[in-house]
Amino acid sequence: MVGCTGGGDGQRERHTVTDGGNNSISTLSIWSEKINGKGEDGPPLILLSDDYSFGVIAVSDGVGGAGSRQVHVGGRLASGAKIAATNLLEVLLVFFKGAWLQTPPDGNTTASLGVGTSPGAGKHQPSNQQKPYVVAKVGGCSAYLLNGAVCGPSMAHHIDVLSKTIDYAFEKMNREITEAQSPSRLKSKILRNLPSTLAGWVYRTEPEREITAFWAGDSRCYVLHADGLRQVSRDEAKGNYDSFEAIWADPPLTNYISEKTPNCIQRKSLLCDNPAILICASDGAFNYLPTPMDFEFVVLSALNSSETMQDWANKLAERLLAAAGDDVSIILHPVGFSSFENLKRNYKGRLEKLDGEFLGPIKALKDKEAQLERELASLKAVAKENTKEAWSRYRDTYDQYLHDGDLL
Amino acid sequence: MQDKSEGPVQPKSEGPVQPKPESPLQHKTEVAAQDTPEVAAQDKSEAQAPSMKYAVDLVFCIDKTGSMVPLVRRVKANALKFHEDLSAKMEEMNKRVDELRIRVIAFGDVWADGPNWLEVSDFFELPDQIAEYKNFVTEIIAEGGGDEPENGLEALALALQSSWTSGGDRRRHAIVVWTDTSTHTLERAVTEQPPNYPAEIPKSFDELTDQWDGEGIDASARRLILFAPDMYPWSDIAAHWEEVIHFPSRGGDGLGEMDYDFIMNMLAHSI
Repeated sequence: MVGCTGGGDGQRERHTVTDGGNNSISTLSIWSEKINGKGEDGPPLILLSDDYSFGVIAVSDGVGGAGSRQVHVGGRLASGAKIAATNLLEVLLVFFKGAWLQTPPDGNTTASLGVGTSPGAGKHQPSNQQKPYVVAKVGGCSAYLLNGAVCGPSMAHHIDVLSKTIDYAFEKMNREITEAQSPSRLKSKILRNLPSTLAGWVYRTEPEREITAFWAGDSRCYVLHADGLRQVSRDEAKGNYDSFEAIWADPPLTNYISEKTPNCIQRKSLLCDNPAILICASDGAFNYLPTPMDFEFVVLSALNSSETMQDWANKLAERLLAAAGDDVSIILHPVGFSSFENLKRNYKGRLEKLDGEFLGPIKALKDKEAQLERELASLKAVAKENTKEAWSRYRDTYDQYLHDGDLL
Repeated sequence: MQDKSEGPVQPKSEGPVQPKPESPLQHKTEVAAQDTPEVAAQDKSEAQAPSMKYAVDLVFCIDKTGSMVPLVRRVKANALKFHEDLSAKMEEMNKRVDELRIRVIAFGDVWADGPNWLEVSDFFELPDQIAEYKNFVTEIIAEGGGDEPENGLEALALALQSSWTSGGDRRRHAIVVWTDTSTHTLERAVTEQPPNYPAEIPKSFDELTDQWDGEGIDASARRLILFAPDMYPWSDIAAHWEEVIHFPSRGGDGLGEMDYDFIMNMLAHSI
């Protein structure tokens, strides 16, 4: 199932995609630029085997502060942040296609990004013949289904090799920039030509179950279980802020992908036998809601009021974009569910608990606070009016001697 | 991660996945039509999204010694429009500046100028106090200072010790320095402190560095912009301090539009 929505709040365009899976279950992706054409999130990447038994999902977010300088790469002029975020996911796409299919199928892209000749690229190519794949490019989002592909022996090992491939590709892009453009006169430790965060999941269900989160920077990997949301990635940012404090602190990053090599990609593998939803998201998706609890609530309440994956995608997009002050990219990948109804049922209890135990009491307090503020405002208005009325009566005597003329 | 109790997810039966017959544009139109007003209204109310409020404090350190005479008119003009450019950049990024304050520290050379070496303002709250702010900047006169170096590090220390805003949901605390020369070492005042030297100035560059990394200024909010020559201490600061941008020049002379735009982006964006 492939779908896309556009339009929306009149200011920003949004793209939602659902792709792969069985008749009613698929992967959900939202990608939206806060200002059309000036976004710095890469179009989310979805690359799945056609039987859903393994795949990779990833998002990227160009670091606008460090990479706002306009650069030329591949004949394209854009901010370094935007080019980094977009090309980073293309490097992932080429890498994993090369790793999972017999030969890298997209020679042009491979050559332009330098992935094909990178150390480690294609290391895990299976020995059987090349399998076909289908590309669905919808609304700027990339969704790819691999038919009959074979994944390598270790998902985690893919990530280690991936970082070397990214180094190679980013060094090559940076050479193109430095050869064509004079260096900036600015000096700074934060200045980068091609900075971007990254967050994603790589998973397989056969021959054994294995899921690995990978990330660099403050884009996040979550796993949503029936008993609640877990953040799997640890934000690579200054300070010891927890995820609630980080919403307001917005701390500078300590690590991200860039031309300064070697790049460091964090990873964490999980054991996960129960159905769950793998989520990766740029900070625009979660960092403008009041708490991490609200993020989970938005995801689940949108699910609960939906009838299909596309419906869920549309409602979730609407709610996230209403809050976001930034570009938004997010992928939700359900694993282990037999149908959309099964998916909804799995989280119904959690939504009720989230509302009843966590957000409901806060909302009640806020409602009471708002009521008291209204009452206080009303009381102040009455007091002001009564004061004026009292003064009006009092001044009859008080002003008696202020009239012109003698008092004799 | 399939649910064992319900069996594995079934692969598609029709073999290789084929794109749906409808084009993306057709699908786009179809789905958008499903987005009924009722649904949209419900979504927005449930999101209950507060828009972020940004509070911005700018502290401008301006070298007012005689060597700045050829530059001071442009520096003052830049100072007077800096906040407007930053606000415009933030608005371009849909970030609303709810509180904007500016403080000015005009500095010279305490050993050469005596009591007149320093002019410090409180924070001006803009737009209410724009006239007072403009008056303060306009009345800065470049004179004195003797030969280089000057007391730019003391000005930077005073800027760091500002009563930074804690308002807004997110903050930006930015210091901008315009100078055409190097500075005295902070150690000089330890041995020969003049009467007009401010209290609580760090005793060394390392101590000042600690203040930049300390609790006095919010590590997430801080930014330092240097329009200063490529010499001590400015080049050292750019090389070793975090969240600093240095445009090596005499008071920003020769700053191009692209670099200025980068500086504005760096101030307006998260890093």
